[in-house]
Amino acid sequence: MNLVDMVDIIFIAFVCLTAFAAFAIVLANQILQAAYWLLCTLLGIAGIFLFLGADFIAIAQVIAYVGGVLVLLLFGIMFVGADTATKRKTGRFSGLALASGLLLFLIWLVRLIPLCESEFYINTTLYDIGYQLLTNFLVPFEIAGILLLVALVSAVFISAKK
Amino acid sequence: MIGISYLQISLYLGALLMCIGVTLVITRRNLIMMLIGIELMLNASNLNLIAFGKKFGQTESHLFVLFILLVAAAEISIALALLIQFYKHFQSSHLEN
Repeated sequence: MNLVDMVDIIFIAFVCLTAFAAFAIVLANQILQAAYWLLCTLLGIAGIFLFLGADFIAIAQVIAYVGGVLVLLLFGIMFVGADTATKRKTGRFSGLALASGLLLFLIWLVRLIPLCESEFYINTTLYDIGYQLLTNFLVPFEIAGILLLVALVSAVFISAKK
Repeated sequence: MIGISYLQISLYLGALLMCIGVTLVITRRNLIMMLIGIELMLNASNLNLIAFGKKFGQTESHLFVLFILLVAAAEISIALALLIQFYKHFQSSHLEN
């Protein structure tokens, strides 16, 4: 077994972790369990980003999603109360039918894409991202900063209102 | 070489995550579960962007993913502030009660 086989096996392991955790979110009985399975899903996606040659995005995924979004979600769950069961009986079959139809459609779409061989190389994207962020994407970068500021202030304002 | 294609497997996984997110948003009436579904859908779109960026050898898709991450963080903070107000008003996080 050479190195390429090992890399492929690790990639498949990340894919299986992500898919299993995503199914576990749907099947979870409590919100807290769903949040922890979401943690597994996000970490698995970060690993897949590494295999797709996006090293900076993988780190940003771990920092922003696992460190920010998931902690905020857990805070919300703790605030509301983790006891609430999430099952809902009516309307489940229509949702499942719609989702499986969407899945079949997307699989049909993916099969239209020509297959390309797998290749794994580590080539850092950090310089390119930094260069693009300060030249071509400078205006969206600034607007994103303003958006974050406005979101922060308005979140404080909304949650502090009587 | 097993002979797998990272691109295709990633796209299939993205399709699966998108459908699971749609299922969560449609079938659950809990606000937090719906938020989790939205996060899953955003992650599916990120996965597709990164996969196609690898296929075409571009790094602009990474920047789009970065902005999506940022908007997701802003969205979840606003949504949780609204959730807190909702909970204060209705003493519940379900949409039906």
